Amino acid sequence: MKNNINIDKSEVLRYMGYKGQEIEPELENSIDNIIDMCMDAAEPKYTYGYFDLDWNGDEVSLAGAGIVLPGKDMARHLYGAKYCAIMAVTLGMSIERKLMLLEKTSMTEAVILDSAANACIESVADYAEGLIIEESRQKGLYTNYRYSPGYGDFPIEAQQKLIPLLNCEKRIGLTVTGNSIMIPRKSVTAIIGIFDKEQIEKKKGCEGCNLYHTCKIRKGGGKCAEK
Amino acid sequence: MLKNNKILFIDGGMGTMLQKKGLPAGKLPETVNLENPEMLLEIHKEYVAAGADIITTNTFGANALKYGSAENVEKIITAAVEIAKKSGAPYAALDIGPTGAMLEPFGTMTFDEAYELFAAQVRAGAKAGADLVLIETMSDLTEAKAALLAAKENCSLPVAVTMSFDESGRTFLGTTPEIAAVTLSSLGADAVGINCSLGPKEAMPLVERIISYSTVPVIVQPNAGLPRIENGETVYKINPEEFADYICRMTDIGAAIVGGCCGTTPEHISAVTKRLKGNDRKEISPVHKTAFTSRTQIVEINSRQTAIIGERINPTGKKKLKEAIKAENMDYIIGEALAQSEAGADVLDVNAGLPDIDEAYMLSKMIREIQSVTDLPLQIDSSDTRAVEAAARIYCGKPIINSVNGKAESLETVLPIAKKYGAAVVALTLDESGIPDSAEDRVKIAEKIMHKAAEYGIPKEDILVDCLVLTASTNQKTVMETLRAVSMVKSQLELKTVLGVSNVSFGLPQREIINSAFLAAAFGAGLNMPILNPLSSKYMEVVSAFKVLNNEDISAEKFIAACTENEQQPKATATAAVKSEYHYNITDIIVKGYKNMSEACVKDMLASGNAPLDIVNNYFIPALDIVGDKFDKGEMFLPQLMASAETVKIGFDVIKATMSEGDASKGKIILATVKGDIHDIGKNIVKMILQNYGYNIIDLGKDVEPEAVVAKILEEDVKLVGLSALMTTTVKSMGDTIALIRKHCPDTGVMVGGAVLNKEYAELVGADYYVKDAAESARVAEKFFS
Repeated sequence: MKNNINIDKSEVLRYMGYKGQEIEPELENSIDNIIDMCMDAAEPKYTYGYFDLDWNGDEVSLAGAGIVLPGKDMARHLYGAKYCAIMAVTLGMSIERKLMLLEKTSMTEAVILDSAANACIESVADYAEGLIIEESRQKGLYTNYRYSPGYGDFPIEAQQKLIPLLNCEKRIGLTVTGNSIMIPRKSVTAIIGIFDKEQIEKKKGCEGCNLYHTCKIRKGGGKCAEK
Repeated sequence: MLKNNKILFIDGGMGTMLQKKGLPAGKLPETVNLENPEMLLEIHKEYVAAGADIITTNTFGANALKYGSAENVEKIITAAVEIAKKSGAPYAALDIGPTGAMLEPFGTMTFDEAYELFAAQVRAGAKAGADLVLIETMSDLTEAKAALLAAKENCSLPVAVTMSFDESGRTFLGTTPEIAAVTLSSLGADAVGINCSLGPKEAMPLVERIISYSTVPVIVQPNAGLPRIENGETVYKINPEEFADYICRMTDIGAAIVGGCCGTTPEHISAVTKRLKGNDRKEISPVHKTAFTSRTQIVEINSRQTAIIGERINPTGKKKLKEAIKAENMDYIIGEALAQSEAGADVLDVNAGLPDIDEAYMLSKMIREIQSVTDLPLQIDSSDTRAVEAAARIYCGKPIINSVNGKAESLETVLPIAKKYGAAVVALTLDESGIPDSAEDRVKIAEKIMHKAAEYGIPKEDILVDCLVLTASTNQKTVMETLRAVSMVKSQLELKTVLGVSNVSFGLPQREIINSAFLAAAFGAGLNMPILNPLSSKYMEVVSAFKVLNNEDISAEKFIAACTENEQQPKATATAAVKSEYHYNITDIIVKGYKNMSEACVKDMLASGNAPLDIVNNYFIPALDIVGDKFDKGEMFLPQLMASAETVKIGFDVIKATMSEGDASKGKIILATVKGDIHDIGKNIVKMILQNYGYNIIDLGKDVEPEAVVAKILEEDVKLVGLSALMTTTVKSMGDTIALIRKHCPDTGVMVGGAVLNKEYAELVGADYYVKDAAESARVAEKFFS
């Protein structure tokens, strides 16, 4: 599966707040090396499942499991969907260990690896989403985009339900703390609606990004989507 | 029962069966025990009919974390055991899976919290009449250990432990089958093995590995093939006959207890029992190995091999380390660990022995922190048995305990701890009458310790004899006697040996020369594990040369590579020095982040008469201000800021070496990532910048209790605290922490930062200052202390 993921260097730079500054060759080198190190250390894993939906007025829940997906934004995301896919991906523990170590030995490298891992997990999420898109296409169905706990008014606490639902601990080694922090931290869960009709591809704004809450670019008033 | 000489059969998958019978996805599977016991009984009976001897209770996740309270846990487990027993199975195994939460250092659950969850399960299961405990699907060795100790301390039933390995041959947290086998069988598991994750085909080589390292029966429960996701369903494709083929091959090489995991059904188990029921186990005589483990590494030595124990984490005679231990300055201690690991140590000795400290607390803390950044196995070094036990308990893996000796009191207190926690132990050849002069008498003490250890069930492979070196300056005649004892221990008792090398030269000039000669002689006498300072290149040269002569470094490959590297190094340093002298001043070096020029440049500045504090105030801080300004304006971005900060840090270390502690401090600041939050990077960035500006940072780490922050403020009389939270969910504990600070330390200022915060949010939680980034934190601190 590693053949199907990659780390986009321009993304890595963007996560670190890069705005065209001149980069010394030494730093450039270091970034390239750490991107390679990140690819080496990553143990990407994914799992996903399909779930029918129940509607109770404006509130949507997963049929059978009885799990409510709270918030207007999620209701909007799944409105009109035949059913949904729920996916979880992770880079695994060795990146976590590397980050802990680098924070003790070189903060510069830690900062770079952190960003490289962010770019990497997005790529893994793209890959898993791609599998869902392809399976749907084969059935003549259409998907919208992935929407994660913590986006809009879909609460981060939803991790507490989604991670056990997909049996993530056993299957991909992903757990969640009482404060809804995923461990390994470089992990993503998301919900994708599956429809009879083609969905107008909404441009992913900041609201639809996994780094919504932690993004340094957004905090600085910028947007990475406006390339 | 697990020691039976027949092959035992355990049941197969439960989750799959429950779903087949209509359990909806997302519903906690253990609720069936109370809501639909008939359905569960039916599944158990199918497995009994298929020939399973052991039925696993439906209690994988039945812990208080998932079910709210110990009462609920007891209800669910009691029902489960009763149903399992009703099925007619010869044995009911209390099933215990992982807690579902990640333990420290990666997660927030403590060892003791996990232990308590498991203990409640064990007590309920034993009370309800379970025949054995099955701890399974573990991927965290620490968690497996917590569960195993909970089982052994709360019931008298046999305990089997299995871990799950993926295709890389490691668990999700990096443990190999060898590490699992050595650690868990030493800890007293009655059977160890592997389950889940893999199909029988992929599991086959791992089973072989675990069998060759386990000293207890091996249990195997693979999935019905490697799980594949098809249309959102996890599917397993190995059919019962194929499954049975592989299981037969496993019992052929010595697997003793066999069954299935995810995707396996009564048909799979039936296919297995048809082929193997009534067969004897393949007889294997377990080979004890001398091996020490961490979460991810195993150090194994046979009688002719060497391994290096790094001695530097021992405060005796080390002023800086003493200060670091007293101040709980973990960065310094971790630095010592990483440096020794880098220098080629195989095991690290860890000693926290200082008067007036809580050694049990401190030694455990040091062990935990060192294990979070290095993979080397550790040697727990203390004369305080309470500290030894506390550290051995939370240690991840199989440690060495340093030490036991021939005194009755030592034997009676240390050996039980070594046995209980599955540790190897250093045996000092001294007793009530001191260190004997003759080699013969020292060997006698070693022999006595070996016999006594055997009474406690500690195999001789786990005894590492230290024949004790006296200094050549005062006891010149005894030095060679020590080496004679080493060779006698090796040849007569066939035990492995350790030796603290550095003592021999005490009181003599050029100690490294004496030590190196002694080390070479000791190797010649058969020494396996010298305890030495791996940062001394002289000793490490002797070690690497001896490894060539001893046929350990095959074809002298490592030796030659190291020599080639050494030849190239001096040139590189020379060019860097030249550059720093002629092309750059310190301001440029800092702004550009040229880390490798910093040291030489600052040394030059000191040599040409600059006062240390002047360098900080007139060069470092103005340069950092330039960097902060450029960062604000977007002329520099984060890694450049960090490179500059690291450059200053290196320069600062040079300066610090010339002054006594505290001279440079502009004020004390506590930094902490709040309770529940484990995102530490932002706080660590701030820490580095503030240290650069000359503040004395007390770093409390991540996931810090509000009470701990307040206690430290009071203890150290700190006036400024920086708190970090990265998640919306943990901003609340930031508010709690600030409230507690206000209550107990009303005149202490609080600055806060973190990705989810902004100015309004910071006011809302009651902070005095909001810092949007690390550069800002320095400005706030400056204003605060001015």
